Amino acid sequence: MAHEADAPAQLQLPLLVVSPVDVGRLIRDVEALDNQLMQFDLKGQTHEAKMPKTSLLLEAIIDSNKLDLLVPAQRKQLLDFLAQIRAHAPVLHISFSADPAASFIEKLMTWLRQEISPQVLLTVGLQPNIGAGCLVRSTNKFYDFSLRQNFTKNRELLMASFKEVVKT
Amino acid sequence: MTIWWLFLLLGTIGATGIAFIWLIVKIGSTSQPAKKAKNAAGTIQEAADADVEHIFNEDFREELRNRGRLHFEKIIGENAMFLQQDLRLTTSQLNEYMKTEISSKLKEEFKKYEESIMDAKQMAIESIQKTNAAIDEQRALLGQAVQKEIVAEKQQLVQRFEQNMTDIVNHYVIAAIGNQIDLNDQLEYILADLEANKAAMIEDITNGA
Repeated sequence: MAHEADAPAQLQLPLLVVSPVDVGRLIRDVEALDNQLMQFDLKGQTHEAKMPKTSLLLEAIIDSNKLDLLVPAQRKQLLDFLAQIRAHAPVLHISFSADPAASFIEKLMTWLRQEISPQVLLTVGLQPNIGAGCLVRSTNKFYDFSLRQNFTKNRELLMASFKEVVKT
Repeated sequence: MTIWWLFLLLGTIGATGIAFIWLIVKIGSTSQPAKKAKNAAGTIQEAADADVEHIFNEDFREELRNRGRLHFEKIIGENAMFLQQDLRLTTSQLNEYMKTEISSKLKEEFKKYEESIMDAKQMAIESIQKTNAAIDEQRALLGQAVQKEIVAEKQQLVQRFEQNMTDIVNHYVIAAIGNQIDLNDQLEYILADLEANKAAMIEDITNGA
């Protein structure tokens, strides 16, 4: 992928970062951290004195990429990476019949990052009328993996069974 | 016709009787002037007349008149009897004739009446048969139309039922399932569906705008 080639190869998104909103939040966190540290440098204070509190997402991406955000170059690298992600990362929209749990999202993101794209983002929707399964909308396509669609596909089978019952 | 014949016959008989009586009376009245003419012709004759007068005196004349009257009455009686017999015979024949005529006329009229009734009956029967045939035909046509309509309606209902049945079943099953199936249980199937369409999704992501 052209966009992925521009991005830092060594950085990767943690599983906790799911949606573009999370990416935006991370960017804000990193920018805030960067500003804070820049202020510390300008004031001549040591970083260990008053480190700003980091969010769970930020900690996750720091841990997963073994980053040291005290280093300005790595902060910049992370910011560039996140900006690149926000601008160009593929986004899938998946709707479920119920609100999915975090563990479910984590498993799903694991598969998506492994099989589709390591930078893929996900927005989750709610469609209670599909019964089970999911509806997937990518950039240009729409996939209906719902139970409703499955029933519609197997309509002839249902009709055949029904006619057979009626005949007997 | 027979009544006129009867009147004519009675009139003829009555006229004959009157003519007969008039003739008897006429003969009786013309015999005396002839005798007077003879007496005026001569004395001998007058003497003879006197003898005759003597012989044919008033008693004798009276007796002759009585005899004549009796004879006349007898003849009248006989004629009356004949007339009565003839009248009875005529009356009986007339009765018979009238009976026969009336019977024949009545029979003829009854026959005509019966024929008219039979014709009317036949016409009524034909009319009823035609009406029945028309009703049967209309009933058959109506039955066919209704049957056709029922079949069409049935087919339409079946078709509509077939069209909507899957939707109904889907709706029912989905409504019945509701949120009963946990998403974690569905994960395997969802991943299988995603795996089946992975290539298309990657291509879309890669080449998409």
